[in-house]
Amino acid sequence: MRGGPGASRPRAGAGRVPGPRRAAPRRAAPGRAAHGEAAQGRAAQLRAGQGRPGPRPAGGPAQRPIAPGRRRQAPAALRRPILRRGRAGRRLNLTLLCLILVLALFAARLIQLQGLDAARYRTLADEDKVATVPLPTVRGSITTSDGTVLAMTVQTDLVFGDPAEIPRGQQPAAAAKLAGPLRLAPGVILSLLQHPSSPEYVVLSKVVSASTAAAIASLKLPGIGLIPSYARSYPNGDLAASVLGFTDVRGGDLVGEGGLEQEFNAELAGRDGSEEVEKDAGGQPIPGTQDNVRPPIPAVSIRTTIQSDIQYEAEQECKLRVKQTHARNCSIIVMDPRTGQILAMAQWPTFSPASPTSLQATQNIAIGDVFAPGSTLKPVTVAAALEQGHQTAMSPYTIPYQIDLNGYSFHDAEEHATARYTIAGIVAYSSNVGMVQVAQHISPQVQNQYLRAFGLGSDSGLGLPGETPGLLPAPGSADYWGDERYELSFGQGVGVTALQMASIYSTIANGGVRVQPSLVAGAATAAGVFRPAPVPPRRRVIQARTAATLMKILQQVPAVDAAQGEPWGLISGYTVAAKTGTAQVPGSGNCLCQYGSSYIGIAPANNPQLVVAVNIQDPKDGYYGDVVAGPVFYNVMKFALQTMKIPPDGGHAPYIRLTAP
Amino acid sequence: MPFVLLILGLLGGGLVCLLVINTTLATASFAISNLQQGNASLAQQEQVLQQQITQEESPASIEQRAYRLGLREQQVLSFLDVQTHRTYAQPSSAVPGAAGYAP
Repeated sequence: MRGGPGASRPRAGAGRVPGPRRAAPRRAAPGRAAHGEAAQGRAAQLRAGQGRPGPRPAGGPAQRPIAPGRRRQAPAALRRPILRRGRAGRRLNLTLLCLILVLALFAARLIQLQGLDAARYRTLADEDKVATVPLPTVRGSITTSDGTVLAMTVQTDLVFGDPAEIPRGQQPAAAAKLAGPLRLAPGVILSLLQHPSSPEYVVLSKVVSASTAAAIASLKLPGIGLIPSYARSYPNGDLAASVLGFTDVRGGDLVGEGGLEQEFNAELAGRDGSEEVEKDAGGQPIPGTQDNVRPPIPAVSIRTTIQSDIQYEAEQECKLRVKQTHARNCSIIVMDPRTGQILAMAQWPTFSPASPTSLQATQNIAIGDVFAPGSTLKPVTVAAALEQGHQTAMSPYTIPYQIDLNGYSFHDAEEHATARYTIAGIVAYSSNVGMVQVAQHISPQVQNQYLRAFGLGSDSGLGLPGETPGLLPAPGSADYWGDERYELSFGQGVGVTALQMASIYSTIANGGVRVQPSLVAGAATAAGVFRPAPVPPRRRVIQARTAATLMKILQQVPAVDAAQGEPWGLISGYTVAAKTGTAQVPGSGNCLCQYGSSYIGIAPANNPQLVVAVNIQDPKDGYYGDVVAGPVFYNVMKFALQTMKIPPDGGHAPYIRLTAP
Repeated sequence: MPFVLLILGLLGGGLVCLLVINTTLATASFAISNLQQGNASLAQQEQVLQQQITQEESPASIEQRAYRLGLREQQVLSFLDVQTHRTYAQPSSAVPGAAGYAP
């Protein structure tokens, strides 16, 4: 059955695609066959023309007789190469395969980029887009209780030059323009530019104030740049330097050393934060994109209990007196006995926190220098005797100039005839001989217990670095010599700090209750919220009436001293309770020729609000406590009473009998 | 047909709104940056002024200027009685000599 184009009769077993391909050759075959037959016809004719017998009919397909069993086949010369169906298909299949391969490669690469390596490329893209902006925390400031700023952080700039950027010929002109703001000679700047530490970077000025930096920026000089940083500024010079400490730049951060800067370093510094934002090419953050903030820990500002005016006055008095008496050092502490707050802690020599010269100079003398207190320690033994030694303020004693007890010899500061004093008189006239007799009424253990209760031999609880607990030998220990209990009664054989002595008299002034000294009134956040410091712990040391008796006795001292020509305890209008102290300090070569002079006073005695403790070590010009330290006490206490606006209370000391019949 | 128009309108409106929001955010972001820069320079000025004020207010500076004005520290306190409008002092028997020391 012949089929036209499109006929589809699958041949069994052939597996070939039927259709036009098969039909086409079939169509061609008959055509060619016919053509071949016609050609045969013409060939036969030609042969006939050449004389071959047998006329053939012209026209029409010449029919050559076919041998049976043979298919009609075109002659060899006329056989055309027939394109095989399979080869064409295969070529196309090959192309298809190649295409698939290439596409598969694309797909694989796509999966690799988008699926497997996606994170890495996102990171790379983010690095381009995302910028980390630091959120710096400015170090907190330290202020006095009256608002004066003692320490603050300022933004400064570092001026650097890039000599490669500045043409050679313009360098002198640039140096001349910078000389004014940088306050350097143009020649110095020029030499820095011409001989830089590294070819593209030389530091012209490490610390430059913000206004100077703005002026330099406005000059718009090529090759001169600014790097902002923070620096610590102490706008009050060296006021309260020993309390503040100083700061050091470590690793780009400000770190506090010594004093409050070190004690509260963590709170003052806070912690820098950072923010990750997506920025465009110009550095502008793009809103609506990722914005990861690591919040900074804000810094707090510390408000101290220091009164800046009293602090300044105390510092000036210390400095003046040291220069006048050629002393080694001086320390003054002004405290409020009711709250334990320290209104002033002055010393001389002091240092400048902005530029400390040596670590030794930054020592806080009031808490770090140990000395023998001398007569100012007498009230402690008296308190022990009044409470546990069955003594009263009126208990009589016979006081010779010199006395021998258990083989030890003691004498008073000045020669005098044997007299009869009460305990009040012993304290008012500051008799060592009287004190050793009083000390016999209490055991060494009780005496030690009272000294410890008043705070000797341990830290005061202030918290400042560099504090020493002093030296208090315990009975039974190797340091406790045979005459130690007598020495302790008049303030020798023990090492104390100025703060411990001030705390003793604050306890006496506060009705026998010791309040832990404190320097910090509270902390203020950057937003301005003030959080007061926790209430300091209180502890009863002596009974209220013992403290009242002691206050009565101490109020006699200013008059007694005035009668001897030293009126430093008499402040007109106020009642003052005071005690002087002259201690002997072992000097070089074991000579007892160094002295420590102290004067500690409480005012107003009827309602104590201020305690001023002055201590001057190793004065060369005079040594008695009232002579050397007295004027300082007078000036500082008078000024403090004025500054704190404490009204006068009449100035009449109560009467108490000093002599015994 | 109207439903199609409604949907198209909503989509178009949403698109326009988004564009407007984005543009506004970007503009605001520029404004924020400018204001922050201004803030920083104002903060620097404030800090410089604060330092100057603190130095002027310091006890040392005040004492110097008071001395130049002729003010001197009082050696003996005197008090003003507000009720009787009387000033009074209660000097002690020996007044600490001013000749010995003066700030």
